[in-house]
Amino acid sequence: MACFSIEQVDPLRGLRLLLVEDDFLIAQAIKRMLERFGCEVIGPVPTLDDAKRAAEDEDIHAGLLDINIRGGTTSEVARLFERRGTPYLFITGYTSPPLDEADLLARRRLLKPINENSLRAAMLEAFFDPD
Amino acid sequence: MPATVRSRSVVKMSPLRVGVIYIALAAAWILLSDRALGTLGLSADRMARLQTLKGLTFISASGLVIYLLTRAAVRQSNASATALLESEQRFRRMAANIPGAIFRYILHPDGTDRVVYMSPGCRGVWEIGEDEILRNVRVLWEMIAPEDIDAVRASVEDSARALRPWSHEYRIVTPSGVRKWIQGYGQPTRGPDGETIWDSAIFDITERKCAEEAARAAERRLSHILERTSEGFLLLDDQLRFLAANQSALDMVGRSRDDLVGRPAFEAFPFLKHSAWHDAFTGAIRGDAARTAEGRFEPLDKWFEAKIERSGEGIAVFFRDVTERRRAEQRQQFMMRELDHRVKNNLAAVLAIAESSLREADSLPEFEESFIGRIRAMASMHSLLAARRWEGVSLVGMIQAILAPYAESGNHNAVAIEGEDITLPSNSAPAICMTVHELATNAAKHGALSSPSGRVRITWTIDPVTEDLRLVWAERGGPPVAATIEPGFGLDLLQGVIPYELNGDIRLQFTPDGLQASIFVPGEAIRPPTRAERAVREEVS
Repeated sequence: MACFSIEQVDPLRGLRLLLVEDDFLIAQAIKRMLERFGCEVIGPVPTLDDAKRAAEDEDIHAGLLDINIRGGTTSEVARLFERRGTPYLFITGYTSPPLDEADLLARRRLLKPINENSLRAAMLEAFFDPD
Repeated sequence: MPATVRSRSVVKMSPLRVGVIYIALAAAWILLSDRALGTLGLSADRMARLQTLKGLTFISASGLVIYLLTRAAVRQSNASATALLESEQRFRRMAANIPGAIFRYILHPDGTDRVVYMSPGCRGVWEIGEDEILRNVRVLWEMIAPEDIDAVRASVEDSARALRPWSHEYRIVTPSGVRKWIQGYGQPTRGPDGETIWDSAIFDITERKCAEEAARAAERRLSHILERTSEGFLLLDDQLRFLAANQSALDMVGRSRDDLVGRPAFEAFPFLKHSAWHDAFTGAIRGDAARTAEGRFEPLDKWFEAKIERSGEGIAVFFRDVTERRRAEQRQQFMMRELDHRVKNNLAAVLAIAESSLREADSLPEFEESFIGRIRAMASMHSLLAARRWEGVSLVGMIQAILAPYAESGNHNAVAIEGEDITLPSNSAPAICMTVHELATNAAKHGALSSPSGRVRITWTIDPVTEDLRLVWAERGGPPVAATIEPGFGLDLLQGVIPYELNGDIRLQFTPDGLQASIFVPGEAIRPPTRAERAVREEVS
């Protein structure tokens, strides 16, 4: 046990996070996990229009994006985050990525179904690991 | 040989010159010899004897000269006669050996005709001897096949009129009944009395004609097969111009024969230049091994599988339409990816249901009931979806399947379903399925389905214009209900899933009769996806 432990500060705590997921059950489950991590969840939002509108909020620290949602794919949101330097993580059921998202997907992606441990590990890596 | 050379040189002088020289020499001899004798002053008697001797000598010399000249002339005449004979014999041998007949044919201005020379080869062509033909040329005319006679006559007349070389192919029937193809050539000249004289040759070309005919027949058979085959066939030259195309090929590329043949491939189909076909064609021209290529034919949005090989200077292309197979492959790929996606999403949903059910259940049996009930409802919906190849599910069928466990429990009249059946798209079905299931479990636990006298009536309407779905779940006859459903996962799901997933709305009212749920689903979530939307979906997934 370290004497001067400062790692008790959970980096996920207080994170403002946009959650885009069009399946109600999955969205609720992930939302509950995120709340247990101490994150502030924006959303969840089920459609592309809602996602784009919510992503305009500049105070968002990070994003969790389902790829294929009602109204299209979230690649547009991902590119916006990319431009702004906002980290994000794709959560998807697709093992092989859809066509034009391939380059974005190559970066960060978490395969469904997800559990609390895998989500936490993926978020730490995607949001706090510079590479 | 020197003798011959001298005799020739003598004869080459003209007889007149020989005569003049002879007379001059003889006169000089007489005059000079007489004068010389006069100077000798001999006696008359001796003189007379000398004169006689001189005369005899002169006669002898003259005789010798005449003998030599005559002999040379006779020799030369013999030599030329021999040469002529040899030449004649050579000609006859040649004429006899030529594979055909050579002859001289004369057509008089009055229309009569005859043959003045015929080589023995005539027997091989017409099966009759020279004499018979020389006697009367009609035998040759009579052998000409009836269908060709007019053309032969016209060709001869034309050659005579214009003094054009005669060349004609025609058929004859020989005395033994053999049909032959023969070919004649002749060089015409005009005779002094206006007659036309041909030095001609005739050859039997039956074998060549038969071979040609056989080749043509083989070609006809081949092209017939090519026309009949369902495979497309194209022949292109070394500049990749179309030389030939069969009907299947024309049908497949949607062009007419006139539109293609003679045109460069990259001009007739500009897109080819920038397609994989370009490399396949030019590769085949370069002589690469025959290759099989598969590619899109852009103008008609088809896929062709082609075998391309070098043929002569150009290339031959055999191809068939594999569009259906390609589409099936694409569909299958799409389905597999979609299945992968759905399975993972469903597992995620099952996990979420399990976790929520677990969180709320006070006991294991309670968990089992709520969890398995929800999973079973989802499973029955998936069975119905799968039965329709994931293209949608019947609303009536789905509600019946969800409520089946409650109807089975004995109360057959407990549930009434009234509404025009519609097909729910596969992505809208789960929300409605879960909602109806939550209503049913709630009714079974606390509402109309918990007592034998309870009834549930499910009715709906479809807006004829917007296609909005309005569904009402109405309970009555159950135990007196509380004014609310206990909060928790079930209620969250009931109130949340339709607004969240379908952009719809649900209202729960507690009337004295029982619970009434009014569900609104906008038409856009009910309408089957249009072709364009489906295409976009396939594109992105």
